[in-house]
Amino acid sequence: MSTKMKMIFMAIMAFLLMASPLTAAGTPVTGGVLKIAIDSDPPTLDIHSTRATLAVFVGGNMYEGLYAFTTKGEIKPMLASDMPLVSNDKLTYTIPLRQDITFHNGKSMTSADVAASLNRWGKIASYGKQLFAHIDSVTAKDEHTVVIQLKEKWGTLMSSLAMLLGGPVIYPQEICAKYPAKPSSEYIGTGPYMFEEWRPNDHITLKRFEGYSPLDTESNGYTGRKTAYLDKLVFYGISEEPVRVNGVEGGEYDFADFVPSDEYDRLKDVKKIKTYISPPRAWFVFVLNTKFGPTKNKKIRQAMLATMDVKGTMAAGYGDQIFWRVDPSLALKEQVWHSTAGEAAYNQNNIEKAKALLKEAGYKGEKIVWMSGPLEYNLCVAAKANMVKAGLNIDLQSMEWATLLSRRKNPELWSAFSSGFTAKADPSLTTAMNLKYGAGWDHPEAKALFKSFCNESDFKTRHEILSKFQELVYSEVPYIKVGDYKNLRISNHRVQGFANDLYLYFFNVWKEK
Amino acid sequence: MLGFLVKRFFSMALVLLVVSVTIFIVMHLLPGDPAAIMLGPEATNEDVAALKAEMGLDKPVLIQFTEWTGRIIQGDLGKSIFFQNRPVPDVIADHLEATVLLTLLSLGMATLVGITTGVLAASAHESLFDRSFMFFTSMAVAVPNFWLGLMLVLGFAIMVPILPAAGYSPLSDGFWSCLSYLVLPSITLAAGAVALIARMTRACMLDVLQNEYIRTAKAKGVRQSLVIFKHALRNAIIPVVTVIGMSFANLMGGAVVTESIFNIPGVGRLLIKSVFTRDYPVIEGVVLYIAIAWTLINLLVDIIYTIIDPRLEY
Repeated sequence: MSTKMKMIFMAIMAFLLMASPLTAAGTPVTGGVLKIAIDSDPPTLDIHSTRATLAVFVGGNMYEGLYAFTTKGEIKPMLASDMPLVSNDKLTYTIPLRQDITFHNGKSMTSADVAASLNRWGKIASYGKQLFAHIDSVTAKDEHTVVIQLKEKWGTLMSSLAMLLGGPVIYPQEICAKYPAKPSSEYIGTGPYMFEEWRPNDHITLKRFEGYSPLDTESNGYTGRKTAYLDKLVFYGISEEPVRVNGVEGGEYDFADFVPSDEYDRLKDVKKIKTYISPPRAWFVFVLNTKFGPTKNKKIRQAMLATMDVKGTMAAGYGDQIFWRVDPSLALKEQVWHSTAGEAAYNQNNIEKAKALLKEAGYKGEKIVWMSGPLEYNLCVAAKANMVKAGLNIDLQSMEWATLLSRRKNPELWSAFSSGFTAKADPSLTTAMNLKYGAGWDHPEAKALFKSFCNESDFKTRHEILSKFQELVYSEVPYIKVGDYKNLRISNHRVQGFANDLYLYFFNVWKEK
Repeated sequence: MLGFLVKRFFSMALVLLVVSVTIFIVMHLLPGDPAAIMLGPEATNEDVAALKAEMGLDKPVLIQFTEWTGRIIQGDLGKSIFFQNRPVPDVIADHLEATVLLTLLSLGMATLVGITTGVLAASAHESLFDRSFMFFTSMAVAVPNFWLGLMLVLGFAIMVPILPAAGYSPLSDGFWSCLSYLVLPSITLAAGAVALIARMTRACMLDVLQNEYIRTAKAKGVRQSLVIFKHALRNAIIPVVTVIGMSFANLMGGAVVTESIFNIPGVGRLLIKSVFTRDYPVIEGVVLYIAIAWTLINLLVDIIYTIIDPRLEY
């Protein structure tokens, strides 16, 4: 290379260096708007009133509870200043509150707000109602201390206080008084972002809350330091998958969730796009009716379980194996609660055994009405093939969610329906242990195990109880676990600091200039 | 004319009454429950029943119908279940801007291109232009607009990123920004209407151009352009106006597919979303709005007939 050419080359390089962004990757930048495409609008932003995950995707940036979970499921204080002081009889929990907390409306948080929020949650939230059956009272002891008085020992109290999905987030007392039973339409919390606008059927905008007091501990899941680097978060509810993908590829949105997994091979090679495979967040299940119709017969339910080829079903229904896994546990492998109890009955793919069980059951080809929503339909088709081979008369009916939710209220109309159970930090909070779900599961042993699991506070004993419960699920078959599944998420390459966690949240996220 | 208008307003009121009662009955007969949707798929039946009672949705349908009729008579369309409990007219108004702008832009495009090409094709009957015209308009009618929309996004938002892939920018954020979001959806929406209007114009023009008064005009030495636009087009335009009117009414009801592909918060998407969430008051409100749009636009088309052809009387 001639000297002249070298000079030109160096000049070009110098220019390029000067023109490149001054911020190195990894150094947070404040400012900017993050446009996030999620698969639908949340039904409400009142977390007490819904168990819909979408409400947490948005609300998790705005609301906080007394405690929160780390990514591994440990419980840490959030609005509480410390872990509770527990009386010797384990019936009284005294919770000290942080004194530096301001609500988005500028008011300081006191124990009156906390007591009002917990009491409202106990009245209207489904988890709240379950927990408050064991709570005597929640009272404000002084301005910054709350006391929870239990009727009996209840091991899941702390997990319940720490959960966010349908959990006891703290609102100002006035909001609780104004909306005692109906979902609130005023969204005031204590989180790093605050509500700005909800344009129905278009977008929800949150803006940075300047009065936020972050904790001085390391950020981990919903616990620790939360920083609102972005000026605004804008959530777009877009049900069409291609629109979410095209939107990020075209630069209209910065982030998209629930991207079809079959797009992964293409998108991972697109330069401007980052792909994220979420941790397993839920598992598919086929819920069976233990009260009415052919599936009331345990042998028939066991026959359905025996036909299950989980690998084939998941591959047919959910695509590439990097997005799912075969696992018998009612808790995820990543959780301390994981158990292999009863695994011999999982993933049997044994048609002959199923035929024998049907014979024992005296099955005469009665129709098994199986309802499926759109997401699980392919799974059901794959699973049905083996069931039909065993001689089961399956009437698989595909319907939109609203219809399925409505029809499943009447257990005489169906024998099975497909669903997904989301993972929770404490198994007692999962639908897998909810004995009232679907047609309900009236089994004395299941009831007793659930009660002792909730009463117990020693981890080892609780784990043993959970394993027994899992074994019972595999022998009684109130539902059939299929496989754990993950999501594909994508973002613009400028998005930094995103914690690819179970739920979406955008504090500590920034956008490079 | 006055008698005609009075008669039309009465029949319009009757249509609206029938539409609203029908939609109320149909919606309440459909399975589905807003309380279940609000609580999420993992809620138990007990939770759903409690919220339903709180929302007043557990009352017998007949009582709900009586209450609803009482409200409708007073002009109260109720409040949305999902859109933060806002009054239904406000929710519809929020979605009107996008739908009206999208309608006007695509209809303007369709009318201008459709009539011009239709007239040109009829004037050059059996020529190469005319045959190409027939081919392309057949294509435009046949191509599904979801496919066309996705191809336009691929071409002009991803491969050559000059226009936004999806979304909407309100007029208050600036005219050009708003326009940039509407270009691709308008082309998608206009394609089918262009073909329809153009083919109708061509057919009507060909019919009129056979008439003796056209031949006479030509024999008198009247300029070709004058013959086409003054003598022929005016007489050929009435069926075309009908087609334009129907397209207008259709579009005002919301272009469901196009609004979904481009994530435009218009009336069509509002209706779909409300059906999926069983937001009964909004569904009833939107259907009423569509019925009003249809009847008013039909009335407008009838009035336009009398302007184009003064011989027409009602």
